[in-house]
Amino acid sequence: MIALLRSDAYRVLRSRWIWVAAAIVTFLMLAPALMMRWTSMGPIYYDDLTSSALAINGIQMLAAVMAAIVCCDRTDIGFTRSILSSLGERARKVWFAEKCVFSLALTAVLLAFTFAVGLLGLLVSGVPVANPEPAWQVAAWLGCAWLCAAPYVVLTVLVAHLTRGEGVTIGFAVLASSGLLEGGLLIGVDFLYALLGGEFLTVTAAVGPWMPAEIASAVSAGVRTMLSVENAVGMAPALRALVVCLPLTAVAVAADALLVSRRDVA
Amino acid sequence: MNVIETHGLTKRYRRKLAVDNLDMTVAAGDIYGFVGKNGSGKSTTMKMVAGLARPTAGEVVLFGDPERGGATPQGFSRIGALIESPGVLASLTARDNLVAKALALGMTHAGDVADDLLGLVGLDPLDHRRVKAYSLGMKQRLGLALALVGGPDLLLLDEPFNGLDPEATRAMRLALVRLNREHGVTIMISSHVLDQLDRVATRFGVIADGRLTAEFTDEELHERCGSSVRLRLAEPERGLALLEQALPQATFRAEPDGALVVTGAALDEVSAACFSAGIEVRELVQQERDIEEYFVELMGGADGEKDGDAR
Repeated sequence: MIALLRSDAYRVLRSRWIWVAAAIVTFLMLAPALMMRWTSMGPIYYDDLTSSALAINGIQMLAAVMAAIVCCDRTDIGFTRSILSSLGERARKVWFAEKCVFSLALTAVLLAFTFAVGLLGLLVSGVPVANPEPAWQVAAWLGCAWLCAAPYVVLTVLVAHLTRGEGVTIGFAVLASSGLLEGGLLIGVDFLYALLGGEFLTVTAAVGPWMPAEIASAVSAGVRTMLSVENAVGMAPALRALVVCLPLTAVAVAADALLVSRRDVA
Repeated sequence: MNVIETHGLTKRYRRKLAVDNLDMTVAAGDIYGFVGKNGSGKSTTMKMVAGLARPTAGEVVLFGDPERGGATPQGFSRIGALIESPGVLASLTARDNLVAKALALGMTHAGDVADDLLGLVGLDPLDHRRVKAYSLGMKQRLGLALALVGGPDLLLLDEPFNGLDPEATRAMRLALVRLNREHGVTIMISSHVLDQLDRVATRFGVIADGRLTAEFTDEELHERCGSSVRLRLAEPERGLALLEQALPQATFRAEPDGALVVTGAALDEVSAACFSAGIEVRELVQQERDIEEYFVELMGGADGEKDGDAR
């Protein structure tokens, strides 16, 4: 596993796309800060770090797309064959699990990088933070954000290994991580429920708060919302992330390593 | 020791039977030329040997070890494969490709391994171009280098001569022979480039419609494809027995149409032997068969099976 992780890290660091992605994130985080600095426009102060000063909205989408690129390089199927033919039966299962682990690690690096550049942007902008949260709360917030992105990342890896199509995988990554798939699914179920005589949107109201997209949205709203129990289900989004996202991620990794690995490579 | 043994190997893709009950043997030290038309099941067989595709039925025994397929205790197989495409990461340099694979196999000094292999296949370790700028021949050579990472004992090469110019083909051929002779690597090559295959292979297997129609050695191939005498006798069985006594150095093969093909004896020798033994001859002709013609005949379908000593 460690050898495979090292190999993937080398492969990704030597690729151009990762540096392009880093440059885009840096630009998106620093450009508004520089504008605020130069034009003296923008807020006088931020209430706190996680709900207003630092934005991590959409991080799960970027992480899922990065996972799609890692697992679906248009020309890498032959390279995959080359690696897999050099691995024994058990090591091949590890290879599939490693792709999930690597994508999750890449997500963690992305979050840390975004957070660091965000802090830099905050310094550059010169806008003060009135009530910054304690470090443990910020760490928990980042951990929850990672947990919310994890199912999308791992499901994208699963789709990549099942379809081996870059277009399909990136399409899935965008649709799933934006919540469109979940929303569409719930609306579809609601529609059927309404046809059977039930009240429209009943299912969405009941199940929606437990869907990863909804939890991710609550987490990205900041530490206060993330830890608050004052919501429709009376459970903090942080806890819901643990209850929903963790098992979902574990199941997807297991499916990839145990079931998808049994399929023919090509 | 047999490096590859397949027993009743079968692969079915929905309605298509790609490989049908294939029994094949590749011994240690062989350069095994695997010949067949497009879609005959060559690549599918190689994928199953490499563990990239699961057989529908039958089994592949590698290195005489049915349990672990000859894998090392570290979980690495002893196979290097170049199947269908060169298998390169086009957005990286050749050296990066090799380092990435060497790291994946847990090798220390991955950079040194990459430099050595690039030198072995005739690529420049200092070439900083990305692989997408390479010609197909260069990609093929890099594919071979990738297959060699980890020092495999068995090399599976699917169409390694594709897209190579004559010089690169020669370099590839020499590299394969060197690997076989100096490093003892058993090599299985599928190729349409029969003249190149003929120059390197020590044994051949011919596949048609997913079935192995013939397996023979390099010597047997040249015996069959050199000059021979074809004759048709009034009493074939009696005539064959008498000729075998009269020409002990010759090899006899019965053709499906009832004719007898004699190799290892000249036309006048066969003629004289028939005359002295009182054999009634209805047809006697000198024939030359080239290798390509012979392979095409064998690849044509199940006809090869009827060939008395084809297998």
